[in-house]
Order: sequence, then structure tokens, then C-alpha cells
Amino acid sequence: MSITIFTATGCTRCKIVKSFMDDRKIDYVEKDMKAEGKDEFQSFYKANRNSIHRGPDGVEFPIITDGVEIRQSIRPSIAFLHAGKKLDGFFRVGTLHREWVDGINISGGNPEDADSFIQVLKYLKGNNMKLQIDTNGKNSEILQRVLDEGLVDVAIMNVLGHYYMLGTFLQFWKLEVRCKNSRYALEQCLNPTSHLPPLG
Amino acid sequence: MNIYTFKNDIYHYNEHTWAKVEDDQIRIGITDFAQDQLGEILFIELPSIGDEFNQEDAFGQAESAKNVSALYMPISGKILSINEELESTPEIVNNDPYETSWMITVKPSDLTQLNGLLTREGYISMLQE
Repeated sequence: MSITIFTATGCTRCKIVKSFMDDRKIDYVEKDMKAEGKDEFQSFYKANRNSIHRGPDGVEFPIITDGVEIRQSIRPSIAFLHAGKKLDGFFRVGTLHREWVDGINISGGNPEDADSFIQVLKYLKGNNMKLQIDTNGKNSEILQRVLDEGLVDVAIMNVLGHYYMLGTFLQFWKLEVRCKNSRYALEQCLNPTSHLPPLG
Repeated sequence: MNIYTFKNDIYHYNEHTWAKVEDDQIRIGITDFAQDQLGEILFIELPSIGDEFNQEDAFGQAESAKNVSALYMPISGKILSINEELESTPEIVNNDPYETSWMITVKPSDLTQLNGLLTREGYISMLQE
């Protein structure tokens, strides 16, 4: 597999992805879009602009391609380099900056690929990244594993369904829960069992 | 304030596009300030010939690595031509936003709208505010 990686000068996440490829002895060519790779990135962007995500701060780097597949930003890139397309459901482009990494959807992937998924999280965590994950309640056994291994810094739970379905699997109080789209007040959401009737 | 190039022979719209009267058509592009704010331009989306827009409408967008910016009509009118050079070499806007890198020409529907646009000095004052 020969990879082209588009980077921006000074981009820490680009360095981590390059380091991953160095560790795995994956051949790659780097094109710095602010330096010698400017023209090539321009051509690449024109040809693939519909596949390139733009956040509030513009295009997020790195972008990697093997000539067919394109992956953007640190987590989809490392997931693709590690396991090909099979982890796609777990990762998407995020919005957080600096050491924080989001766009990790624990419920979006195939549970059979949990080991590979967890290896990617471990690599990110090992590079001093803080991980924010999303869950809708699916794949709760993977959530339990990543919690047990201390891989998650923030979990955003947007669980649609009755709490009886989830209460036996998840130990909410172990999480720093950030409530999003909740129909409950923040205090209730942070302490999700306080306003609910007892089980059974 | 950075050093920008300003022109005397064009009207300026407060959304950083310019309009130049050429006989019975208006040529439109973005100002030097706008191209500088965008940074290195990667792609410019332009309308089709024959499309009609009102003043203030977005007629296209310019994309750079750090920004996406809508391009706003300084005057109402119908698109007569687009600068096809920008499809393959959008980056020329960064070098010369006023001459070779014009974006569209339009047949204006209300020339009195020019009276509401800014002169060179008016545009500089707006940027300094």
C-alpha cells in the first residue's frame, strides 16, 4: 500500500499519522500544502472537494489517499491505515482541536471489529490525545471495554430508548457525561437515575 | 492594516466584491482585501450563463484551506459570461483580483444600484472601521 498524505506545516495530528505509518513501515509520500505540495493539493482538492470535509476552521489535515480511498483527519486516517475500510463506521471527521479528539462513534461500527477499534483508540491515547466518544447505547460491551481500559475522557450519550434497556449494562456514574439533545434538565441528565422510578 | 491594492475605476460592495462598468455590461470580482482574507484559493464555484441574481444574492463561493466564503452580487442582473480560467486556476485570484481574475459579467437590471456602492475611499473607510 502506497499512501499520499497531505499535511499542513506544523500540524501535530499529521505528525502522529506519519509516525503511525513509520511504525508500521507503510510507504508514503508527504505533500505539505503550505510548501512544496501546494500545487498537488490544489489539484487533489479540485478533483475531490465533495469528499473533503470542512469545519469552522477550514480543511482539517491530514488527508490520506491510496489513490482510491480518501480519509481525513487523525482518527479515520489511522483506522484506515490499521484495518482498511472495516472501521469506517466507528470514526468520522470531528470538530475538536488540540489534544481533544472527537468523531468516535462507538455505536456505529461492527462489534466483530472491536479489537481493531480498541487498538486504534490505544494508539491515539498513547500519543497523549484525549478522547471524546459518542454512544447511542449500541455496542455497550465495547463501551464497557474502553471504560475498563481507561481510554475515554468524555462520553456523550444520546440514548434513544427506555432506560431499562441500558441500566443493567452501563455504569453511568463512572462517566463524565455531557448531555446533548437531552429532554431532561442538565442536573437530571448528569445523574440519570435520580429522576427515574426504581427498576422492577 | 495590511497593504492592499485599491482601484479608482470600480465600485465596491460592502461584501467585498467589486463592479466595473464596461459599456452595457458590468464586470464583477472580489477585492484584494477579500482574497487576502481567504488565503490561498483552492476552488471557485461560479453560476451558469443566463442565471439571474438580485443585489446581495450569493452568485458563487470561493474556497480556501481555511475558509469558505460566499460571493455576493454588488448589483442585480443576468449572467453574461463567467471567467472559465478560474475553474482550472482559481489561485490566480490571489495574485490579481482586479484584472485577469474577474469572475462574472452581468447585464444589469437596475443601474441606479451603482449609486449605493462604495468608492475607493468609502471602501477603505469601511475597512478601517
